[in-house]
Amino acid sequence: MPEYKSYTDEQLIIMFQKDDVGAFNEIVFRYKDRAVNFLFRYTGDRDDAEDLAQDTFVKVYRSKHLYREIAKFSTWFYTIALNTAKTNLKKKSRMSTISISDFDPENEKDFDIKDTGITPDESANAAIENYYIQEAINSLDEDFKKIIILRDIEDMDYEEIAEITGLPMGTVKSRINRAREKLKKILTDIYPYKESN
Amino acid sequence: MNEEEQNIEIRKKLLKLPRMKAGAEFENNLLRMINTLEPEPVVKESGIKKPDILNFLFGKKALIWAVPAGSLAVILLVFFLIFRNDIIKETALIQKPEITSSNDQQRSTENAQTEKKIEIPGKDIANDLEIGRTTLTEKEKTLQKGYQETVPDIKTEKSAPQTGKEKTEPTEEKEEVKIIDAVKSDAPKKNEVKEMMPVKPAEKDINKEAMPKKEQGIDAMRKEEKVKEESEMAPKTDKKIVAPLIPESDKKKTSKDSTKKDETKNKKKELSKELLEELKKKIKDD
Repeated sequence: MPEYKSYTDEQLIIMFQKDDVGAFNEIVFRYKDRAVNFLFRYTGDRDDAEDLAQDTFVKVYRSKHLYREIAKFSTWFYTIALNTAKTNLKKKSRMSTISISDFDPENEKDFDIKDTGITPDESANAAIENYYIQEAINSLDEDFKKIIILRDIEDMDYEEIAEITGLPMGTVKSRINRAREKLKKILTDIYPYKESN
Repeated sequence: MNEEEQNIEIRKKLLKLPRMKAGAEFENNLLRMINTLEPEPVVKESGIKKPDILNFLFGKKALIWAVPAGSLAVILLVFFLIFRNDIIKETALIQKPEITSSNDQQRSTENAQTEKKIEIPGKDIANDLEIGRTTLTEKEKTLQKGYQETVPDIKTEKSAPQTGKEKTEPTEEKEEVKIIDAVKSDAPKKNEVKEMMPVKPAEKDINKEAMPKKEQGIDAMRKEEKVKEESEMAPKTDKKIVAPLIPESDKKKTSKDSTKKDETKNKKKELSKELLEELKKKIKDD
C-alpha cells in the first residue's frame, strides 16, 4: 500500500483515474472539511452542506476521467462543489423563497456552533457575531457571495478564483471589494452595537 | 490597496470564522452513496463500451493501426467502385456488338420471314396489317417488292398471247377448233344426208332408165345447179369456220384432256379427210 499522504492532489486524482480507490479515499480525507466549510458558508445550512459535499465527492468519483492536469485539483474540486451548490440553491428557490426582511434576530432559531473553549461571554459574543456574519453573507448576491467565500474564507488567490468562477481577474477583484463593502454595511445595520463598542 | 486596507477588518473577521468540519459518518455515508450509485457507472461503462468510432479511432485507447487501416480500406473501396464501374462499362461495350449482332440475326430472320411472306403473290397487299408492324422503310420496301412482283404478272398476263409458246398454243387450239368445227360441219347433216342419198349410183341408174328424157334433162339441170350451189357453199363454210374464243377455264380442262382429245382429234381428222375425199370423188363422179 503506497502512502498517499506524500502525493499531491493532482497525483492522487491521476492515480484514482487508474482505478486506485485508495487515492480517492485520500482525496476525500483531505477535502471533506474544506468542502463542508465552503458549502456551509455558501448555503448557510450544515446538513445541506454535508449532503452537497457528499454529492460533490460522488461527482468527482464519477467524472474522474474528465480531470486534466492543466488545472489544480483544488480548482476543479471547488468548481464542482460550487456548481452543485448552485443547482441546490436553484432547487430550493423553486420550492420556497425567503427574504432578508423575514429575519428577526430576537426570534432566534437553533444554530449549532461548536464549542471553541472560549468563555461563555466571549463565546456568546463570538457566536452571535458569527451568526450575524453568516447571515450577512447569506444576504449577499450570489455573484459576490461565492467570490468573498473563496477569497476571505477559503483564502484562495485571485487567479484560482478567476478559474473557478470563470471571470476575469479585474472583475474578481472589484467584486471582492464590493462584496466586502456590502458585508460591512449589512453588519453595521444588523449588528450596530458592535460598531458602538 | 487602500480599499483592501479599509475592508481588511471584515477580511480578518471572515478568516476568523470557525471552520466547519464534516461529521464522523461523512465518509461512511459517502461510501454508501458510491456503492449505491456504482451500478450506474457500470451501466455507463457498458454504454461506453458500445462501438463509438470516434473514441475508437481518436480516443485515449485509440488503436494506432486503426486509422491507416481504415483509410486504406476506404481508398480500396473507392478504387474498387471506380474500376468496377469502368469494367462494367467495358463489358457493356464489348457485349453491345454481340447484342447488335444477335439483333441483326434476329432482324435477318425476321426479314427472311417477311420475304417468305412477300414471296406469296398478292399476300403482301393482303397483309397490310403485318406491314403496319414494320417500319416505314420496310413498308416501302415491301410495297415496292409487292408492286414489282404483282405488276410483271399483270404484264405477262396481258402480253401472254404475244409470247411464243402461248402464241402457238391458242393458234393450235384454234386450228384444232377449226378442224373440230370442220369435222362437225363435215358431219352428216340431215339435209346433206338427204342430198347424199340420190348420190347412190344404183338407184340413180334405175331412175334414169325409168324416167323420160325431159325429166332426165331437168334432173341434169338440177344436179348442175346443186353442184354449183355446193361449190358456192364450200367457201362459205370456210368463212364460217372461225374458232370461237374458248374461256380460260375450258382451256385448262382441255389441256388436261389434251392427250385423249388429240387421239380422238387425229381419228376425226382421218375420218374427215376420208369423208372429204369420198365426197370429192362422188362429186367428181357426178
